[in-house]
Amino acid sequence: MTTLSDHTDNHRYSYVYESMLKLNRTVAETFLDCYAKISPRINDSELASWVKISTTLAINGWHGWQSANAYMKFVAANLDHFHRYNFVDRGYYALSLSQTSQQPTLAYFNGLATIINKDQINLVSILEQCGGKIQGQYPQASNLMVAYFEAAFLVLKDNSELGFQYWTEIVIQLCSHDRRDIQNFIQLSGKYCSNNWEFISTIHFKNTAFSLAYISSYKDFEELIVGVEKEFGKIILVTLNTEGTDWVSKLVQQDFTKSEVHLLVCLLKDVADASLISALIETIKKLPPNAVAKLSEWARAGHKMAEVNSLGAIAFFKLESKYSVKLLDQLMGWLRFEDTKRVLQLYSQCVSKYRLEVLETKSVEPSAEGLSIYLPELIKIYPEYANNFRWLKIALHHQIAYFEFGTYDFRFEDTTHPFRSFYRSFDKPELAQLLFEILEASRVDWRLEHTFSGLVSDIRRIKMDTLQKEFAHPNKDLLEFIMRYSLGMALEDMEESTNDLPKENSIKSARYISITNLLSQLKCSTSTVFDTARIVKACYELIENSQPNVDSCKPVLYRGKRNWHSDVQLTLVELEFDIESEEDKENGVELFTSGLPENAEVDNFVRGNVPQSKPQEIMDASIDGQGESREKIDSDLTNGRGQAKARRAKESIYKYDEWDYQIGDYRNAWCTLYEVEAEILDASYVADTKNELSSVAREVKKQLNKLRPELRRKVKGVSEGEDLDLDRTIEAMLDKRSGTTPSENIYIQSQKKQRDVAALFLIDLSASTDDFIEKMAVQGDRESRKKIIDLEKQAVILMTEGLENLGDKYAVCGFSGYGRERVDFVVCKGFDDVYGNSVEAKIGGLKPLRSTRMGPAIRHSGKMLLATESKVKALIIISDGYPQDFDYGSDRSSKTYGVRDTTKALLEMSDAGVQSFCLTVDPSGHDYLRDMCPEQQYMVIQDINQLPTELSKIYRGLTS
Amino acid sequence: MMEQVDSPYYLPIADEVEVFLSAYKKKLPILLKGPTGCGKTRFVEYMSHRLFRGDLSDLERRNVEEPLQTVACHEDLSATDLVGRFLLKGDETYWQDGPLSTSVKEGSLCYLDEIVEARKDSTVLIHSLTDHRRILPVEKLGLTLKAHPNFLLVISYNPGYQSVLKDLKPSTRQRFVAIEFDYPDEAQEAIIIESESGVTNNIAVDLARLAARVRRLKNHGFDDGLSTRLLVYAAKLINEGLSVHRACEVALSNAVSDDKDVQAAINELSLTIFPK
Repeated sequence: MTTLSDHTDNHRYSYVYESMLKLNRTVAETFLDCYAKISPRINDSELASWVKISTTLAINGWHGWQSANAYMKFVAANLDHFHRYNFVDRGYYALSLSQTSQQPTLAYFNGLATIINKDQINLVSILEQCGGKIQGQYPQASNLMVAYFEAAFLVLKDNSELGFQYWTEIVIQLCSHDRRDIQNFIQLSGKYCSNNWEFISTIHFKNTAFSLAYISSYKDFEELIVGVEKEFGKIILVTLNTEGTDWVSKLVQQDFTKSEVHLLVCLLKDVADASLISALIETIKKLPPNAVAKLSEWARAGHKMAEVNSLGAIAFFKLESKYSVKLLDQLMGWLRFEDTKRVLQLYSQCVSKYRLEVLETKSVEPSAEGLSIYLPELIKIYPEYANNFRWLKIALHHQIAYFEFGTYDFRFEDTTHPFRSFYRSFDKPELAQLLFEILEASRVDWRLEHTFSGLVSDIRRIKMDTLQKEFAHPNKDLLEFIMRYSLGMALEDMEESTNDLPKENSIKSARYISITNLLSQLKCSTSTVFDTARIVKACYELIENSQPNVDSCKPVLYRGKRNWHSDVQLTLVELEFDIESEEDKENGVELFTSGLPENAEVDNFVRGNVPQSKPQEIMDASIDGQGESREKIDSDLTNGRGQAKARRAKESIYKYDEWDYQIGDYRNAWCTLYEVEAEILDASYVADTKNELSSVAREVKKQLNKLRPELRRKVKGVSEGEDLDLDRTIEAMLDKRSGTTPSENIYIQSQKKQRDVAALFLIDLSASTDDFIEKMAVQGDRESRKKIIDLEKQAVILMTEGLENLGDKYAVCGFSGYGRERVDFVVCKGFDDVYGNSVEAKIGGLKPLRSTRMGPAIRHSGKMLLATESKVKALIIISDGYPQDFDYGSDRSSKTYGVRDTTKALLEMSDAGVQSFCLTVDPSGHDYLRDMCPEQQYMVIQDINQLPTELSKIYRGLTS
Repeated sequence: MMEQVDSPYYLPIADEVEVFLSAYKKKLPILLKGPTGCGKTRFVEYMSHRLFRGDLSDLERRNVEEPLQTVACHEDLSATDLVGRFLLKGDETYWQDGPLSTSVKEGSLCYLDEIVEARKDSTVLIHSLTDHRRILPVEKLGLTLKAHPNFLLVISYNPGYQSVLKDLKPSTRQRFVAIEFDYPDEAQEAIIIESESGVTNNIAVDLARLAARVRRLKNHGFDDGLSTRLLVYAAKLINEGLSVHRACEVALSNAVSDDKDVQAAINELSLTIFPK
């Protein structure tokens, strides 16, 4: 152990040692040790200060010896910098820190030690001043001080002098903020110390919260913004003027690529609002990263909108507004299946003798199941709309061609699964299947070219594009060779393109030539699926031993995905055809049958615009039963087909836009409406109602009978007619004799009058219709109490009886739902349905469900009414309250969104020639109905029992 | 003697010519059933030409000034329109025969096209002309006209787009020999198109193919099929130098439907069948 007496020059400080020893042996020994090192290097005055500081530190508080220990050791270890860093001043600063706790002092010296080799004494002073500010603001906050020193020295170490000064400026400014702000900032600074503090200081003084978000996520997007840092910074600075700062963290959370971020930056150059950035961040992944010019134009339209309607602009950048979607499609040349669905459906009906249904799929590959053809919902293969349409048309034609050119006529050894049995007859079924798929697809393409010369150029162009895109790098794999040849590449071209490959297997060798000869047999205009099978067999033998790479054969997009193993497809086609033939026979298909049930079924078949029911289950079920008899499978399929058809008939799905008054535009395809047949039946309800309300029924019938037109009326004063109108003829004669030009309108014509009316009764099935009618609830006994839904139903039942008598076309539907993804539209009676027990049971079975999202229900009713082509189209809505749903607008408590959307839907009806009338039993109905439609188009029923008679009066008004 | 006129072109599809001649010989009224534009009117023109001007004519028939009185019936067509009416001329009224009276008197063919469109009083009016009596009462003159031996009433009706309400009453339809017409098959239709318009056989064949496929769209925007008449129009336009696709657009898709989607589908089909 070293003692003070060993250092004779320093005996005057032995008392220091003694006093320290009383505090703590460790610090006393440190004193001795450091004293020995320090005393020869500094002057007496400095030494005295050092001793004084150390002594004061040691007695400063319960654990003051720790601070003294740290100081002494720090000075001893860094003696070379004693004067440059003025350790005496540092010591006095440490003394000021150790008033309440030793931890800040320790952190200070630890940090100081890390930067001591840098010539940054000025910065240390700044650091201390800054620390002093914090201490002044929060004298007891030792942890905060510790964090400060830990972060400050890290920042100081990793940044320029200027950068550190910016950092401290932020800290000083934060001293006047909430303590949590400075805590967060210091914590994040320590974590992300190498940030651009100059930039952060700029944003900090504008928006502290955002600067914190920025610091915390900087590391995560640092890489992504390489090359566009300046633009990125500019966007941030602009957005600081507005609220909303979470977009930077979103940027990181959504796992963006560099090109997506660059596109984002590019599109946001002129951005004026942070909320737009958030919206665009949500959308950016849906945008093509390589179409900056076109997307910039799109974004400019969004910015322009932001100047007048910020919410509209947000919906625009989220790709939720109709304008935005349409503009983007137009600029990009994209084709949405939905927009061409009906044309394609009609077209497929022209070119195919089968009743094929054209539906949309989320997949990018076209496919077929049963008698449904699935096409991608968005086609963006080419930058031009016209070319995308050509592509879609060829893709559709290709799928149709399998039906038309007999692919499903394939039979093999009398098995129930001919395709699969055929593949399994080879040693390598996978190879056989792949060959079959390629060759059969090629065959039907070639047949298409032979049959429809107008398709030739489009098919060849698409094939060539596929070759260039998917098979740009030639190899001599025989299977790929077959694929390339099937896509139209000539042997000579292939020879040329494979010149740089090893010569040992010349493309003109016997095997290649044999393959081309075989394939060319499929090119004729009469080739069948059996020719394909024959060629598959021959090709298989040629390539089997060449180790063909099955995986290298990429799928050809426009040819889509085939369920070749789904042997039931052909059976479905047969059954469909057989059953249709039988149905035709039964119905005695004659010209008179148009518009009758069989044809009505056709309409059902094509009316849904979103795929819902696939016969996959039937297929799966049948495939499993490979050993089953043909009869059994046929029977299952017939049942399955029946079920599938029934399901399809029961539920069709539609997408409807919804008007958002806040964005001043429609939200594109916002609501999903399920048109369903009523499933709950109550056969006795209608009969009971008629018995109970027989007197009201008579009155309603009487009212409606007044609408029955007189068969003929005589119109006088027309230029042509059966008889002369004596009065007018005399007048004409007088005119003539007096020299005046006589009128030519002197005949009487008998004109026929007839009604051409279609009316749809739309019943609100919201949960609130389950309530009892107040008046009756109070007065009546339990049995006689009625619910609102009962009254709605009864009113319609009485109307139907009168309408049957009158002969007007009418439909009865109900609506409810829950949220925009599920709007239920229950059809009790369609316009073409015959009124009978089934319809009565459906109306009787209507039950209260959930919410009242009126807009889509009105739009769907309009669609049904317009399809009738009647001269007078009337929509009568019977409800019990204002339109509402849990997501009918962003603010659930506000009625405005729902009311505005309903108003817009009613206006759409009016523009389309549909007369609408809203009838409500809600006493406060005036409040919102006044906004939704003109006074003459709504009625609030005060006495609920008057509903049936009022309804008949309204009907008269609407349709006469 | 009337000026010699060329016989209208008509390609017999089945035995309709023989049936017509037999009925004419026995003075049996004829009902032609078939969709719009399938050749009913042309057939009547053809038969009237053969009977009154052509190979089957005789001196008496050749002297008939108007061998065929055609009336396109509409919902306001009344018995007066067929029989005749008083009109004013100067200070006097005078009687103007209607086409049916003229035909009955002169002994020509009277063709009432789409008879079900006419008012019921018109259809009742023809009852006495279509049984053994062969008379036409003219109430306003207090006369009854006896039909000339060469007179024959031919009516047509298109069951395809008539609603049930507009069906012919059994009491009317059971007075006629009925000949059913339909669109010719592709090969026959191609011959008709070629003969009528002078287009090349290839174009005629493709137009017939297109028609056969468009007819599958029946009940989608148009109640009838695509008529042979429209195909001939399209062929004539093509022959005049209009592009095939434009000719199909103006003569077929635009003519057959107002439904934009139906029009687009037909136009696409023409692009499929005829190369650009």
